[in-house]
Amino acid sequence: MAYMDEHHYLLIIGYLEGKITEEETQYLLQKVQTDKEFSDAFEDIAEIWSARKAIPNNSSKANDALARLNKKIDSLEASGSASKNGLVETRHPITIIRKLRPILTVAASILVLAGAFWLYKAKLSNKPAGTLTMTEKHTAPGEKKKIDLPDGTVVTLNASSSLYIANTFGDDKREVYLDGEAFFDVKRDPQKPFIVHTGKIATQVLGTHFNVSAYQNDSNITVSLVQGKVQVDMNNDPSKRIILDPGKQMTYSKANHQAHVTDFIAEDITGWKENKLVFNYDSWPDAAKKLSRWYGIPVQLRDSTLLRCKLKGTFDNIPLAKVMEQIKMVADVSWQMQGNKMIISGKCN
Amino acid sequence: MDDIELLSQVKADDREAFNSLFLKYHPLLSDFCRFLGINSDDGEDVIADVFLDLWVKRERVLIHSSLKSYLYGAVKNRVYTLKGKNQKMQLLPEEFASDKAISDHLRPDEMLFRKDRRLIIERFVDELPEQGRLIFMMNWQHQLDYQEIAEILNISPNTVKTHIYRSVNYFRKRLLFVK
Repeated sequence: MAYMDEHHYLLIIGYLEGKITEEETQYLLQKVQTDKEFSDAFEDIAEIWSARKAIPNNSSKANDALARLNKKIDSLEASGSASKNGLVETRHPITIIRKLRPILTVAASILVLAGAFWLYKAKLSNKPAGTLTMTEKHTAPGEKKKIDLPDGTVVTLNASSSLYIANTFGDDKREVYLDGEAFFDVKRDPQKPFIVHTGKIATQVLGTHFNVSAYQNDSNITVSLVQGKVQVDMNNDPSKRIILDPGKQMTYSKANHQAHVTDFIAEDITGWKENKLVFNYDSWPDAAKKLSRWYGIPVQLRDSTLLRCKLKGTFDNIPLAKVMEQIKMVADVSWQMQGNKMIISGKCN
Repeated sequence: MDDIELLSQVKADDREAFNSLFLKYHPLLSDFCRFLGINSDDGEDVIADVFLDLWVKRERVLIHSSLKSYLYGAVKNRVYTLKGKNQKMQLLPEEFASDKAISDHLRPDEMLFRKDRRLIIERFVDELPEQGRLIFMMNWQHQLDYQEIAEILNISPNTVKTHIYRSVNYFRKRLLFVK
């Protein structure tokens, strides 16, 4: 194996973890294009990194353990100045006995693989931790579903997505949790705010039409407003609040926790509702993920040189082979099927 | 809410903030305990002790770089103490021992899916020397950064980087044979 130094490895790993600067990213992308050793190493490391599994989040086990721990703490503190392992506790025990309330603020931990080459539908969960009971709605790859919520709101769920509806929905708030993409047509009710939770982002509205895209394995969360007004909160931090006007879209990067607002064209964002597969200057890795969700097969990019290309185009619900045929007419790519997996190779032109 | 905010609320006696931290880290620390080779009951005890200790000492606990590295460090120390007391526990728990017996030959179709790729990488991880294995898993699986790992293991960040580099190099050599 040819010589690749430590610095280069760590740079590639940093890229995959989303931890390097814009400048370093430019350097890396240029190296991938021009240096065979580097691009080979990139592919290998991307493969190793994408093989990382999500740590199972067994919330009932965690809740049980927490209940036991709380009992222990309560009995320790109820005895006033109990001691354990030689530690003396002398705090006011009155404040302690508070009921364990379900914890809404804890989003499940997310493993984000920015730029990973291996795309496979990972069943990670975007559900909040805690003991809340939820109604769950899922879509398979390629499937779309219309969901009528009890308040008259209509949610259209895109492929490979999950929507969790809190059983307290409509009590004083209307709260749902989304992993994937959905279009919301929210019934107006100023008394009960409608809130969509997606990881660290909470989108709150009173009544409006908007689209949220928040797939676990995507590097961004986007909220696009068609009509009305929405309020987007990040990390529960009011100083970072963004209010969107119609025609505006907020893109939040999970890598650097920054958000920016841009204009958007409605069809590019909501085309999926009319069965249009839309690539809107998507990078090849993003496009591959879209294909994978739309057609329900794993899609692999063989050549890292494809990383630099972007795709723009709309396809009217046609078979995968037709889509690839049309892409091939404008881009220097080829593809092959290996089992049920599609492998795309080629280069930027 | 991030760890720093939660921790400052814990310091102000907020049990709910404490509960949030526990629920956030329990799955990660359980996996870490399992990786360190103790069974899940002992792992639960270790995690509970670490959090109990955090609650009891909440006013005076000093976090150097991150709460995450504090918790991992505390868990690691307790597991090492436990293992020192009971040498038998250095054996891998049975359910993992059986995984290791799988033959080295991979069918071509085994390469197809990420799950299988993960198994292959995990097998390679098992082939690493102990310290390298621990460092790689802390970085790759548990997403601790080089500085955090250095603090937990009391070594320099450069040593951590060198271990990661060597591990990746080793995997690349091994991957050549399964491609």
